Amino acid sequence: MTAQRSRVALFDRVPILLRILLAVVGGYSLAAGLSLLSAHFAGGTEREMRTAVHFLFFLYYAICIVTFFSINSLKKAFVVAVVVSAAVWGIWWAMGGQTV
Amino acid sequence: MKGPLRRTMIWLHTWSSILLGWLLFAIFLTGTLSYFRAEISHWMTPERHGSYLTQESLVTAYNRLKEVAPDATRWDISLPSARNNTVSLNWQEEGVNERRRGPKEVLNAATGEPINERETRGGDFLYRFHFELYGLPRGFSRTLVEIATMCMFIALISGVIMHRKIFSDFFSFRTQKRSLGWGDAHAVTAVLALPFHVMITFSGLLLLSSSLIFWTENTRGGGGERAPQANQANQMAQGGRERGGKPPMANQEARENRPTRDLPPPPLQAMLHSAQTQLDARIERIQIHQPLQKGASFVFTSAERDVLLAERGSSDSVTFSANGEITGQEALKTSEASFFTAASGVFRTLHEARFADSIVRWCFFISGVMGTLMVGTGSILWASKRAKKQMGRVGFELVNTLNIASITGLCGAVAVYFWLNRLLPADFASRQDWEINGFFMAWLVALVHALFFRNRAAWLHQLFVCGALFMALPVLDQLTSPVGLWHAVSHADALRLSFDGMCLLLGVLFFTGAIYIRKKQAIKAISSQRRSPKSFKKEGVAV
Repeated sequence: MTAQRSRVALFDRVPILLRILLAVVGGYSLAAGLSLLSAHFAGGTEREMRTAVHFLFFLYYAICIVTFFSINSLKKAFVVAVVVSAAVWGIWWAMGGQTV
Repeated sequence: MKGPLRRTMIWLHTWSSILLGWLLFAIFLTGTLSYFRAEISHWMTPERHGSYLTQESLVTAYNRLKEVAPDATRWDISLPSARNNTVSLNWQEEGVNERRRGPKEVLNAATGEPINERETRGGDFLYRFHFELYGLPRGFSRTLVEIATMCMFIALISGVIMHRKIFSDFFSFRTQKRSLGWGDAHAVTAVLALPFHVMITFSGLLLLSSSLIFWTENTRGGGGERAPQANQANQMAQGGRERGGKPPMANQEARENRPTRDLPPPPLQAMLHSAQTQLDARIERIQIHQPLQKGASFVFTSAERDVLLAERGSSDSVTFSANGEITGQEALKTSEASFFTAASGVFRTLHEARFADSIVRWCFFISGVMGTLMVGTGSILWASKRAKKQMGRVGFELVNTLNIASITGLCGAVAVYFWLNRLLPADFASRQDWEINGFFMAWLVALVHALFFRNRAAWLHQLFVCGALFMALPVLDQLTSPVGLWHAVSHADALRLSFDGMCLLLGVLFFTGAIYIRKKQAIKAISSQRRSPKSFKKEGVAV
């Protein structure tokens, strides 16, 4: 009975763990892509672009984490993360795919 | 995770801050103390206490350098300032890498005698600890601190979103219901200094950004514009300087112009007066190039900096020739950088309070104290809200124990660090290490104590011990410093007096906290006895 209860409790926590994983890893990837793109659009020397990436990354990362936690359904959050990330990294790749 | 946005944000706020809350408290506390690291270092080096600025300090320093470094290519003199009351001498030997710091000596500004300082890390230990911790690999500890800072940033954002009535709540402080009291204290300390919290957290993220952003060129050790080879090539092209060595022509000139002691002494006092008039600021640094030579130049620099974004290496300075004529003047250049470079620079300057005068420094310190209290009250609030339902569970007891050890335990450990500085003999072998070991041992003792008395008694004991330790520090200072506190009063040694005053204040605050808890405990005990005499024995409530 106890083992069954703990298994149920663990099963209940899976969506939360997935949501945390999505926010931390997905948010990181999306924030990285967005900051690279933004720096690319902002232009400037290589060092200035690097500073822009370091500056914007944390803003984007925080926004991504809060957003992925705010979306009510995990499925929706996952779809949003995948689609937006794919779009951002796709544009970055189409623009030459350079790091700074 | 399903539910209205506010509920989600409460969950995110709670869990993003509690998991690394104890580390955040330590970072905030030691970081806040770092705003006064020069003052802490001054207090922890009692050999410096007898020093004070006189009219002759500059001439004394010059004469001392003439004795100890006649063949040096450059002399640096740092005069006493608002945050340092000694004279620091530094010189560069011929042929030695200019990037390396040359020999250093600290003089008593009043007598001109060299000060044999005790071995201590002083305020630098607390400063380093707040972003590198201690004894851990540098990369790992910085990454850990960066992750904790990111959690703090998330907690701040979610905290603002979740707070529906942020302004009306700001004006209410309900002390009657305990959990609401802690909640209010948490909200007030958060809201009162919210711009500071956002600034300090975001700038902290920027300062250690390379720990989390490991894929850009400079953090991977790659080239870009900062490649070492490119820099070296640039330097070679600019002046033929290699690895900080002197340009070949300058070396030849230096050989021809060997120092001579027959030159008339430069009019240092007149130069100092003239530089102060020209810059309308107090001069704190004098650099003498090719000293004791005909072509010597004297650069008087003001350390007062009231701009947030200055070009690296630029300063307000006046240059004199050996006979006292002004040969050049330079003004602090404001940087013309791109938006992101400028914004990053401003955030970094703000974080380190490099521009701050004493009033701004105190404002930053008070805001830092608010931040420390915000983190501390947040952790206590977590435990106090769950005390009735979860008491006895491993998770709750762990949080409760760590709360006590990380809040009062760390404060006590800092006090022990100051005590050991004065109790260990000045010539004790590796005393610097033992001061730090003592700090961690005291912290460990606090943890073990909290583990065994993790109800109200642990808070009470530790608050009393902290209060006693901090309140007795001025007495210890009086007894163990070569010059008494009266000397500090008569010579306006604000560094030492402010430290002692702050310790007294902290001691009073800790005692007040302890007395408040004891009173609450007594009231609780009486009401429990009235309710049911048997239940009182069983009762044990976390703060």
